[in-house]
Amino acid sequence: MSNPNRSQLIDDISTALSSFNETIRPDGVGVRAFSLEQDDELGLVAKVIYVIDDIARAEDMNFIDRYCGQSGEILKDYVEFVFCRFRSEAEYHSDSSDSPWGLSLIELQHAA
Amino acid sequence: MPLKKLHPEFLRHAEFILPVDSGRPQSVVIRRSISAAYYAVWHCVCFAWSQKFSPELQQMLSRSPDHKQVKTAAGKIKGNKSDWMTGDCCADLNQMCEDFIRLQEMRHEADYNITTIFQKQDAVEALSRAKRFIQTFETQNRDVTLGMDCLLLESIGLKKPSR
Repeated sequence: MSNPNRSQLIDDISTALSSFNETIRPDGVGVRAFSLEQDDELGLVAKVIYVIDDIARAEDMNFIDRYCGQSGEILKDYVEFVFCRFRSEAEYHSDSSDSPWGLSLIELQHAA
Repeated sequence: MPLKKLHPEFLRHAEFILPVDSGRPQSVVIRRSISAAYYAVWHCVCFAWSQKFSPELQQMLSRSPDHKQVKTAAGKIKGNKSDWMTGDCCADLNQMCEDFIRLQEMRHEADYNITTIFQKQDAVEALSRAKRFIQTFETQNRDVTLGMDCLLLESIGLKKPSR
């Protein structure tokens, strides 16, 4: 990260999401990592990875809307749009280890 | 020729290929289901556009919308940045725009990004978003119909005339 503005942005987003995690951890859900990408049409977008205790909960659109909406609200001053992915602990580890996708992720410190 | 509704068929296909049991489907099945869910919504948008014209012109004009332009337009409508909108974006329209944008992103990843790893719940989410978009569209609610018109006008780049 040679761009100081990008470094600061990553720090700010990490802090905001870590603080958010404190409020949602009792629900068995937490943001584990995120990535930043420039979208040609939307501008800067964040991809936020949630890890949840029971992955079946991610098949409920109310659940997805609630948490994806909350992270969108929290990051609205930093990015234009937020995309969300929901993973179980095992899926997150198998998806992110040694994969190009995993290497693009910025993991939160002290994430549950 | 009048345009046939394709979006119900794409929606059925997206659901049909996704197994209902708890086993993990093959990656290709997840990707194809996500893609079909997006195309259900895409053909719904194309259908809405074609219905603005005489039956004789509908089929010829149904391919006119552009994926990127509709996504950009959806972002503008959602953010209340479209000159065509006469008031704030209603909740249903806001949800449709968000679902469209998210589905297009998922479809792009599913069809072109081999490094992205998808799980079954991603396909379930895509399918739910597509169903919700189409159900809302088919209610023909006045605000939604007006909003869809604004989305289509915005997507073709037509400027709102000044009074």
